[in-house]
Amino acid sequence: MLHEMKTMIKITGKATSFLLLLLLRCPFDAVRTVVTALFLQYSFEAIAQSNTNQLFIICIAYGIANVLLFLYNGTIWIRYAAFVTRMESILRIKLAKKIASLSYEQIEARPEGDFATLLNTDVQLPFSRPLHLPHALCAIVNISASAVILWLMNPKVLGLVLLFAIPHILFTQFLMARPMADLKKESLKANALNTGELGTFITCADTAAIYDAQDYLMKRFEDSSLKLVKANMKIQRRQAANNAILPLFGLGGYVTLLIVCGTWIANGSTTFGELTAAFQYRGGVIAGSCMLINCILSIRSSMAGIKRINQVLEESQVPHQAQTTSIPILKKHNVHKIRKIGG
Amino acid sequence: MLLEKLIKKHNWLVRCSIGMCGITTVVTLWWNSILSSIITNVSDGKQLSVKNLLASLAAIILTSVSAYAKTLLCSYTCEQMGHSLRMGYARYLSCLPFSQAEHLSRGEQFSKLQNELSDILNYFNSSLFPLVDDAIRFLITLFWLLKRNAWLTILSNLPVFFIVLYIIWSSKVIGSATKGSQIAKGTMNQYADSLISLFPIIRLYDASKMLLNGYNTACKEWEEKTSKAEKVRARLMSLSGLLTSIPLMLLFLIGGRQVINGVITIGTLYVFLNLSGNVSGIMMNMPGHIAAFRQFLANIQRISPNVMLKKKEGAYEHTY
Amino acid sequence: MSIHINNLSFSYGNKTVLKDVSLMVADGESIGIIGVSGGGKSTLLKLISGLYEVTNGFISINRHSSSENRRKSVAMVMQNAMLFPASIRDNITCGHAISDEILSYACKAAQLTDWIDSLSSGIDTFVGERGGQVSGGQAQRIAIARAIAKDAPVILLDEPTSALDGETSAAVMTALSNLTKGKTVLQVSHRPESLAACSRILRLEGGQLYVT
Repeated sequence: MLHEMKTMIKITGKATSFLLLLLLRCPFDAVRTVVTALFLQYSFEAIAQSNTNQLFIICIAYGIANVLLFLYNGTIWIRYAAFVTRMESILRIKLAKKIASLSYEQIEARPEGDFATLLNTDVQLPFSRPLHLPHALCAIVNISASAVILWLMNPKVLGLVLLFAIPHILFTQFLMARPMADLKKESLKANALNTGELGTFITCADTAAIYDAQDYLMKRFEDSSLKLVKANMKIQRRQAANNAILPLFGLGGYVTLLIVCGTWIANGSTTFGELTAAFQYRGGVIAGSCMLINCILSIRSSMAGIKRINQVLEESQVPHQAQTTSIPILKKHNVHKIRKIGG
Repeated sequence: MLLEKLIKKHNWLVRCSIGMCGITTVVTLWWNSILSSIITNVSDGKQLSVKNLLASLAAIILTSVSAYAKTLLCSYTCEQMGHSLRMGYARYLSCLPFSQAEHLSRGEQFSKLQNELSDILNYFNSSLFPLVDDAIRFLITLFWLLKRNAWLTILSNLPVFFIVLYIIWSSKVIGSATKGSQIAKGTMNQYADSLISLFPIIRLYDASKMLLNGYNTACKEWEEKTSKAEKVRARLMSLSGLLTSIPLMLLFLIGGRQVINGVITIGTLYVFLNLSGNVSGIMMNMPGHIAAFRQFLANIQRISPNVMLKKKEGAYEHTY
Repeated sequence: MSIHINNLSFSYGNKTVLKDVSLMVADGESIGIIGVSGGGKSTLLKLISGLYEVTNGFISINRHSSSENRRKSVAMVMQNAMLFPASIRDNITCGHAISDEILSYACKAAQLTDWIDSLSSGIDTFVGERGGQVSGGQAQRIAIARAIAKDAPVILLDEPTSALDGETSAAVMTALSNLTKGKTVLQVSHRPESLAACSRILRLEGGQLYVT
């Protein structure tokens, strides 16, 4: 996976700038988690101390931090977007040039529409749309930073968070996401079948009318539509199970943390403000993990397209017949000669 | 209208789904009221009571069960409505006189109709009930919060109204900026399609240089317009991200003072924070929801004359 | 069954394709209509078969003039056989309850038996999307078998062999002669040689019918 991406970046010849911009983009989520966690912690502590002035200052500081954070993110976003658009543009031009230089045999060797998909769709996958790679890096930094802070706060808190987060993520991934890909394929197949059946009403309209086959076509269409309903409901059942599991692990972990930290608050070893900050870091770990998994899945599915692009770009050129037998370009003096002969 | 007819046809399923959305929201609010008392106790340094623990356990289980039932019921309703729509469309096609069917197959009309139908079906499956659910969640939560503390609810959500206006305006600006990029992309893709479809001719008449020049120019234009659109998007969306932190700050400024003055407990403030997504979050997503719903209504209106929801007499159909 | 056409006119928008066409086809008679491509031959068949509604003039088959009744009385084989994306069986029966004897007779008469026997799923073999898994000749013979199974008294043939090569065409011709035996036949073509078996040949020109 990484090799394909590396090859792709090398092709565009802007690897260092790309990495630099990626590095500049990735701390945003983590910093935002920390800022919000600190805001919650200090605000609740100010409330607990009945200190209105401090609460006001914290709110203003939070506002300023957000302004700076979004200013930074906006600036990097603009640069990153302009850069990846440039990269995509370079890739498009190189790809078009390469395709134009292939022999007709090489073009015909691939299924119809393959090159069009390559130039119109696949080419968007590596850089600009969707932003899987920067999001994945943002998620990694967010997870790491949140986990380290939780560990520094209290290793037991991190342990508790992981105790609920890991089985939840594993459950979501192994029992939901993986079979989901097959179920979606099944649904797409059923949908294609159903669409095909619909087309039969038009393509075979004359035959259906003469041989009184409309009811037969309706029956076939109904069967295919019900098959589609069945295939979609399989997905929905998984989705429902996923939605049911979410509160069990999510709220379960939340309540457990409340019970354990409640005892510490009662002992005076921690404050309620710190607990709310811990909740925020917990959110950073869980949301970051979910985002990372989704990004990895998307990157993996995009890889097929990236691989196709690399294959074409690395394809060796077969000397094509047209190059040896191509008609000469009509230069001015040639045109004159031809006219002379003709006239 | 077709949507109305579809809802009427699946009256009970639709009612049950809406009811289930309401039940799920009520369960969520019940959990939040338990959470409120737990937080108040915990922040006061008190241990969690067995009653609180059992109540929260029951709330978690109920939330889980209701989430399962809601997803299943809503999706089943959508699937049934989608099936009815597909059957209605097929019924229309099967009753179409041959002269019209023949005409339909010649032009692009059939694929256009199919695209509209699939857009509607996609909307049914992915957006219709989430929209209904959001609306129900918003109304019930807003009512519940107003009942708990009207002043805090109104003041903390007032800026959301302006943020929504900003989102509507900014999405229009982004939309028009993206349009130019899309047009340029269309031109670029046309060149790409020509390069593939006319490959033998290009090779035969050595026209690749001409075509590649055109492609490169279109590509440069697309790059320029996309960068510009992205710049606009980055600026406006960063500001919108910044604006979304205002309700949170207001909740602390107003709610925090109320807690200090003993008007509300810290648990209540915490629940307000917890549920802000159900009110301000939904309001901020509304422009997008409305735009998608409008598109859906336009599609459904266009396809209405091509859908026969009532079956022909004596026709074979299992489910009808 | 006889066909009676009287003062039939038809146009696509402003373009008139048929002008005051009148024709009587007796029971069991075989009529051939010759004409250039786009001259209105297929339109005439579509009008007779009830696929198009008659707006000007009159058509009746055995004194029944409604398009639904006309459709019930005819079987039609066209230049490019359109197959349902279903099995060979379903393509012949069109979903109707047809006995195995009739089905087997239709396959035999349409020269399909040997080919079907060679298939692992036999008559239940899927023909593919738009008949993509069968050859043009096979598709045409399935269409003929479908027409034989319908046992309609009137057979309409719209250049059924023009898209086929010589060898395939011979098998289809045999199938067609089995189909048309003892039936009222109306066949259109732009090639005079393919109408050799017809008892009467007419020419469609400028939207009007002429005796050749």
